[in-house]
Order: sequence, then C-alpha cells, then structure tokens
Amino acid sequence: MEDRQLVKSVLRGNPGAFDILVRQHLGLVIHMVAPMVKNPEDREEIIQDVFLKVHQNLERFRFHSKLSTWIGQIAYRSGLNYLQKKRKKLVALEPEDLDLIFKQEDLSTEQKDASEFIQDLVKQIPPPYGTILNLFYLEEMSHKEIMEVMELPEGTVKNYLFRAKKKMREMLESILEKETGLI
Amino acid sequence: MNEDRFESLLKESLRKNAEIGLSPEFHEKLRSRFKRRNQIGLWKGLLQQWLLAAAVGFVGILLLAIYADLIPAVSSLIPYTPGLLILFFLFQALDQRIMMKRNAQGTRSS
Repeated sequence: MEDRQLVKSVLRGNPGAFDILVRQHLGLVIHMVAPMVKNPEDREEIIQDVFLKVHQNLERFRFHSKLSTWIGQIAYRSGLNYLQKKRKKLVALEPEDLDLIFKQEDLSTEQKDASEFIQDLVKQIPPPYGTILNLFYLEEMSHKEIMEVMELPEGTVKNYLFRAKKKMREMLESILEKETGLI
Repeated sequence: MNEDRFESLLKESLRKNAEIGLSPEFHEKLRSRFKRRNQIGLWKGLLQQWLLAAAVGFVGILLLAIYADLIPAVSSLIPYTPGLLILFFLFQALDQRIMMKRNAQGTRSS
C-alpha cells in the first residue's frame, strides 16, 4: 500500500490499517533498534514504543520524506534515548576506536570459517556503525536516506560505512591468514 | 578475499544478526498497549473538555456576578485594573531580567 493511502487509512481508523503499517515497517525498526538495544525484553518494548509514537504523531506527518524515513528517525531517536537512559554512550567515532571495539582475542579462540568470523565481528560492532550497515545492506537505503534517518552529514555516513567495512575486512583477513590460511 | 565475496558475507552476517526473535505475543502486546493508550487518550480528552467547560462556566458566572454587582470587593477593584496590570507586567519583566542574569552567570561559570 502506498504511503499516503496507508497514512490516510490509519488516520481514518480503518480496522487493520495500523497492523499493515506495523508489518510493513517492522523489519526497518528492528534493523534500527537491534544494534542499540541488546536486551531482548527492552528491545521489544522499544520497538512497541516506536509504533505507538508513530501512531500518536501520524497526523503531524506531512509527507516531506518517505514514511519509512520518518519511522526510521523515530526508531533511531528511541534507541538513542534508551542508550542515554542506560548511560551508555555512543562510541566516540574516531578511527582508532574501532581497534578497541573489535577484540581480536575474542575472535581467534577456535577454528572458524570466514562467515563465522564475520558473524562474530558483526555482533561486536557498536551502535552507529551497526545501524548504518543494517540500513545500507539490509534496508538498501542510499547514503542520502541514511543521512536523513540518522540526522548525520552525508560525508559522515560515507565515512562510517567505509571505516567499518575497511576495519572488518582487515581484521577478517588478518585472522584468516593467521588461523586458517583460507585467503 | 575479493570485495564481492566480502560484501556478500557481510550482508549475510548482518541479516543473521538482525534475525532477532520477537516473542509470539509481540503483536498482541502491541495491540493491547495501543488500546490502553487510546482509552487513556479518550479519558484525557474528556477530562480536558470538562475542565475547559468548567473554567468557561466559572468565568462566565464571575463576570455575571461582577456585572450584577454581586461581588462588591471585585467590582471595586475594576477601576484599578490598568494599574494592577502594569504592576504585574513590571514584576514579570523584572523576574525575567533576574533569570537572564542568573542564566548568563551559570553559562559563564560552566
């Protein structure tokens, strides 16, 4: 269903319209919230909060952006609020910080293949990077859309994406060289 | 490892990582929270309407009472209304100035 039709339908209170909205955007909200909220119960509550906020503010949505972008913004802010409440800071976004985040010793304890190593790296990746990677690869958003959702300059989005990929690739290659010689 | 292989591995891992299991009651819980919030919203709306109606009624009765000279104490203040209003705004301006000064001091000290 198109954005305008769906929004009108929800605002008119058509039965089932809000369910459709939730199902259409659930994946996006999960991709936004999951890298920021690791606790499953909190995560579920925040995902629900996002949809309640969406419904509460839907009449103020003016179609200046795609509905998904707007919902993504709400999801991202909800995740940030959660991190602030939990007093967890977003990682200071300097290139050398990624060296501290990815701990090689956690990855090289047993024999694994490339996909398992990369799975471990993805689990360790901190919120801003994880969210950007999810939006880029899973939601297939453009840099511009990610920039709108996360309210970051386009250059920063490109930089984070490049940096995270480069660091993960370097680590993967060095581990595989050392451990298995798979490359 | 070539770029395509790396990207496809990365995409696959991100997908697996994002496959978080929502509890089976997720949609049910969301619906019940949604209903509850709507009910609270409805009650809030009604309460606001009642409060507004009560306030309008009270002011109306007060005005009528003043007009009918039923409250001499209030009606005797009417000639002083402009003076009282000026005093009120003067106090408010003074209060704001003090607040601004305090804020400026706070900003400097931090």
